[in-house]
Amino acid sequence: MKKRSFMLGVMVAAASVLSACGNGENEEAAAESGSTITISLMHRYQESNIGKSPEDTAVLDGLQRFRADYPNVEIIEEQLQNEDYSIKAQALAAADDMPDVFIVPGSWMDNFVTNEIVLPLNGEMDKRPEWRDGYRPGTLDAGTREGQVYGIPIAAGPTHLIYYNADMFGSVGYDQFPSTWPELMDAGEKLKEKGINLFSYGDKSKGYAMSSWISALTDRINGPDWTESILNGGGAKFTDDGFVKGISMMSELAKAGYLNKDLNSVDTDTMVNYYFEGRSAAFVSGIWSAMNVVNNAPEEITSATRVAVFPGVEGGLGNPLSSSGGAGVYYSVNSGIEAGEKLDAIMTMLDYMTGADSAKLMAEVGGFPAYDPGEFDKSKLHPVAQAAYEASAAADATKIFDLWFDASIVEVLNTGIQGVMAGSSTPEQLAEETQQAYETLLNKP
Amino acid sequence: MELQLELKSQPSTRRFLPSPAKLAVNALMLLFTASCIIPLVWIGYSSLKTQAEFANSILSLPSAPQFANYMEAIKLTNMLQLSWNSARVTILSVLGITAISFVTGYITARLDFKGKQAMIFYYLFGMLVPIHALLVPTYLLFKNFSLADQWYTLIIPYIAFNLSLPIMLVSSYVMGIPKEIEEAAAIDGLSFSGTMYRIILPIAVPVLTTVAILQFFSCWNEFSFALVLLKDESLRTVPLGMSYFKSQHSTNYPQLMAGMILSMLPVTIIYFAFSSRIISGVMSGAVKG
Repeated sequence: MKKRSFMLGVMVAAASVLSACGNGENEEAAAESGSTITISLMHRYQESNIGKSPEDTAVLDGLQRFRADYPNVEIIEEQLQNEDYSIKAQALAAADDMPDVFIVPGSWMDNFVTNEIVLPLNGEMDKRPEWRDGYRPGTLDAGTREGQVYGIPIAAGPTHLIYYNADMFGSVGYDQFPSTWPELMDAGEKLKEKGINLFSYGDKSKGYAMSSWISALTDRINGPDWTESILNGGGAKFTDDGFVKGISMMSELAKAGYLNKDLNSVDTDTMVNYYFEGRSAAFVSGIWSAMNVVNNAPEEITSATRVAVFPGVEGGLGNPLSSSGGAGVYYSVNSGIEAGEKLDAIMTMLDYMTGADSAKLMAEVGGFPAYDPGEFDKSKLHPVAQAAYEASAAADATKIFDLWFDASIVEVLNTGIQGVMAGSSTPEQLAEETQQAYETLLNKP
Repeated sequence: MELQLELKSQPSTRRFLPSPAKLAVNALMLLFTASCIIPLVWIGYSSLKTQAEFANSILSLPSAPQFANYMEAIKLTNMLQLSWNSARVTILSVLGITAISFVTGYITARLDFKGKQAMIFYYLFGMLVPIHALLVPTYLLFKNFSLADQWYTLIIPYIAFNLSLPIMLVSSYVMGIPKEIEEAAAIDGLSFSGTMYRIILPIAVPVLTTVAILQFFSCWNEFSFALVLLKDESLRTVPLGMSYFKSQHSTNYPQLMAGMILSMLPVTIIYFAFSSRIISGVMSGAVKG
């Protein structure tokens, strides 16, 4: 028995020594011949969307260029559709088996940083100052924790723009989008008489109201300081008049019958289709809808579409031109990657996918990149896409609540707003519930 | 003569003038049927529209049928590869499920042994646990045993997670077979396994067919395990392929519907070919159980 265990010990030791040698030799050989580095990449950009979605087009073009320039780097890529990506990434993260490079939505960042799933990238970014400094102001913020960058942003478009049918507004006496709330309500009434909804609205998947409406509207009334104060625990409350007023303005639109009745049971795809069908005169959405209008709307709707933002609110503290926005989605690197050849290759790949060239292409095909593309060829852009780009570039980006507020508050707001829009609860009740969730969060040790 | 005429006319009035209650029941059934068929018809003709036409009006008929959607769907998703992957995984899983559920079902129906109740409860319990709760542990298990991302990967969970219902079905069916048949076989000198395979198996063919067909649909349509356990795109199955038509902020509905029709074809053909078997299988299991 003793003999057998001794032999076993010797064999294990020999095997580990041999394998260690083997590895060392292999690595050296690889370095000498400049041969293969393997990077696993999982993201939610798909080849089938090239030409349809600016982000997919630009990111995958960057990847293709990187592959051509660095044939010694093998990329094992997995492309997944948006929701599928969320399911799979969360399962892999729970099993601590994320690929080398992956996408992290801003709202997951806290969790991923706390659980040390993502690698801090300051050191690597500092080696490439030109690339680092090319990002638009604020776009790195939601991927940064305590001064450390954990995520490289991709697109940065506003989540609040209004796409409206100028012909329909013209027919009720508005040459341009109403510039005050009373005017907007007046237009809503006149459109209603013609059997047209002012806005189509689709919050089935929960989150639409928060990203495209509440964040922008609350900022109009309260100004950005209120949001900062909520984030810092600086005394602002959800029960403050401004927040309640913002929610009330939304519920008044529903109560007055200016929105489609099935507002909680249709998704944003259907919401946009209602606009295409001429059942509504406008819809509120992010910059991503610009190319949807260009590619898929009937010709007469596309040519009549213009872009605006919510009108200012009387006595409001925020900039009436601002729009909720900033980068929402980031590329992050697995915390298991050590500095060296592989990390270098990864950073170069991310530069190709999100940096200057990719940004230029994204802007040219109708997107709004996080990296400032500088001057680019606007001649090919459809007027709707160009208007959306210009409105985005002109707007002050204010914080999108679902990226910044704690998940517990986001959940209360996302669920509660459906009740308010359906008329089963009041803005005051929602404000109270949100405040309770907020206080619970603040009192957490 | 008069009497004869009366007799003749009686059934005919019955045929043409059913009672109001029957009419109401039939109307209700027709409504149910329509609610199942109309969406299929809608998917069918919508798959022939252009995207702009679809956006313009969801319900209108296509102005000029676009068969290009089908070509595009086949090209975009590599439909042949997807179908081959799905068919391979599904057929092998169904064979496994049918074989295991037959043996287990027979044993639980006929043998008494220690822990039998616990075993039955264990299988029943399998029906109660939601798949999503098991994704992460299953993934970990597969990763640690290097079983993930192989052509056979999906067969393992498909068999394991689809056993509960078939075992119950087979078990209740076998209980309905008279024991005397097996006793006669035993007297004639047939062993336990001989009785199982040579006597009971042929009698259980109807319920096994039902099991096979039901599980075929379940495996063909499975999504969650296929999503989490596979990385290699060349191994993807049909339900995963449907995501090619969706982008983050928009969906190409006509193409998606063309893809859906293509992916539904094999299961629809199988269903129509075996529909009478499915019904008789379920019925016989139910009545005898």
